[in-house]
Amino acid sequence: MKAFLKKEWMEWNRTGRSWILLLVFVLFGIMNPALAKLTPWLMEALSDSLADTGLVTTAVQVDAMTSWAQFYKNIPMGLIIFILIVGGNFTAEYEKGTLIPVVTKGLSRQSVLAAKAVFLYGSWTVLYAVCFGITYGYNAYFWDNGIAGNLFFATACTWLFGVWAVALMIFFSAVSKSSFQVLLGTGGAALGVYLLSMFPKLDSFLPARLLRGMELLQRAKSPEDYYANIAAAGLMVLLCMILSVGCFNRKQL
Amino acid sequence: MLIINHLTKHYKGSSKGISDLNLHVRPGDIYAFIGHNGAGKTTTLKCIAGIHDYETGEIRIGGRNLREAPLACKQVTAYIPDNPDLYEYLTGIQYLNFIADIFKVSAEDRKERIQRYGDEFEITASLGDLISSYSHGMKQKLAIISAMLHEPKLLILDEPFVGLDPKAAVVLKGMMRKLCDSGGAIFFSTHVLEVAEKLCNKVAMVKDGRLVASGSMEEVVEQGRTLESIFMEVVNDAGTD
Repeated sequence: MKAFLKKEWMEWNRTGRSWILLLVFVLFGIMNPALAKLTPWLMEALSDSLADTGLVTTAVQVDAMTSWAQFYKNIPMGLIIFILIVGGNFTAEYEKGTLIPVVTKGLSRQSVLAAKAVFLYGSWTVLYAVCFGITYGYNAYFWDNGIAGNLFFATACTWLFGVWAVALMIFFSAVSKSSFQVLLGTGGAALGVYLLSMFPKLDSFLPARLLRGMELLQRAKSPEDYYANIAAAGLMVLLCMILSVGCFNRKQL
Repeated sequence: MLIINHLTKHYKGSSKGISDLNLHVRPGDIYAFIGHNGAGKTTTLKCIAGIHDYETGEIRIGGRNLREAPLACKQVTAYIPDNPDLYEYLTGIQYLNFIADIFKVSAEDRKERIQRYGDEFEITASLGDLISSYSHGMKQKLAIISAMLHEPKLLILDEPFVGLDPKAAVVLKGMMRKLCDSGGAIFFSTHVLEVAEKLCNKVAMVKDGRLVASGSMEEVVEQGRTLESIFMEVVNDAGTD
């Protein structure tokens, strides 16, 4: 498995995937406080043209919450870009036949799946941490992160949503033949969960709520309100991995 | 070394596959597996290599059941597919080290073997280049070297001579003989019947997924005839049954 992890790392570096994703998440990390910082200046610059249309702008107060609000707007986009870039991680190997020499050389299919899963979960974790860390650092420098309630709990919830999305992607990678099918399946399942979460009774048990960290930061919700969603997401991740192992073992390479 | 009992494998939605195949490859054997396109050669080899599951039957490698102990079987087996699909973004040496890591080949052994096989195939100087820059023949040589790194006892080859230059083909034949002299065995598919006749001590012929002839080369190829003429006769006879 260690050998396969090393191979994945080399592949990500040589294909430029790691650098593109790092750039995207660093940019998002910088954009969150930057947009918050620029908001008063932007509003002032636009005030004359807005006044012509009858809109009156008043002084805009920005703080760490403005930046965190931006973070929660940007991170789903970061996750979508991550899934789009790594969606072909398994299927490219099926299409090229590169897994055949590996699985015939004493490396079990479970090890291949485990290595790829560890690498994907690890990458998401590192990239998410980079984005969060940059935003946190700038916010601490310009403002005060203390005004955001349950910050680390909310951060962990959003990270778990990403893990859930990656688990879905791994499952669809184990059952699909092309990256298009993987993206369609992952996107479809995520959209389905999002639509179901519009029903208040279901919202308490679906992972979609994990993305709404601002409610925690503003203390409109407490961590206890998210426990059922966390448990549901954790169970779905586990289920996806169990099903992925079963499907991947039977997959015709 | 390799025992195949009543092996049956069919693809979903297709009549192609293999039915009730029985073969016994003993240590020291160089066993040719011949048949027309779509006869079931690659399917059989992929079942032995553990890539394809099969419906019924049994495959035993070194006395172990492939289904019950797949990793133990793969530790003593090497499979080289007809098309060398390698990781193009790795260099030749990185790929060989990757495979050596999988098999847990020690640093000393891998260094010596990579040097030896690399020199034999005259590819040592190119091992630092990306695989994407390799020709088909060079990829095939690299695939063969990677298969030999853990010194397998059973070599499964699918059309191994395709894409190899004449010198590399001679080197490969030498390696095959050496492996068999040291107690190993080789089972390979080929369309080059002259090579099979000269190189192999045993041969099996397959048509439409069924074994139509098998045995030692002397038994199958009668005095004064060629493997090619026997093959054409056997395959045509089987087709009219």
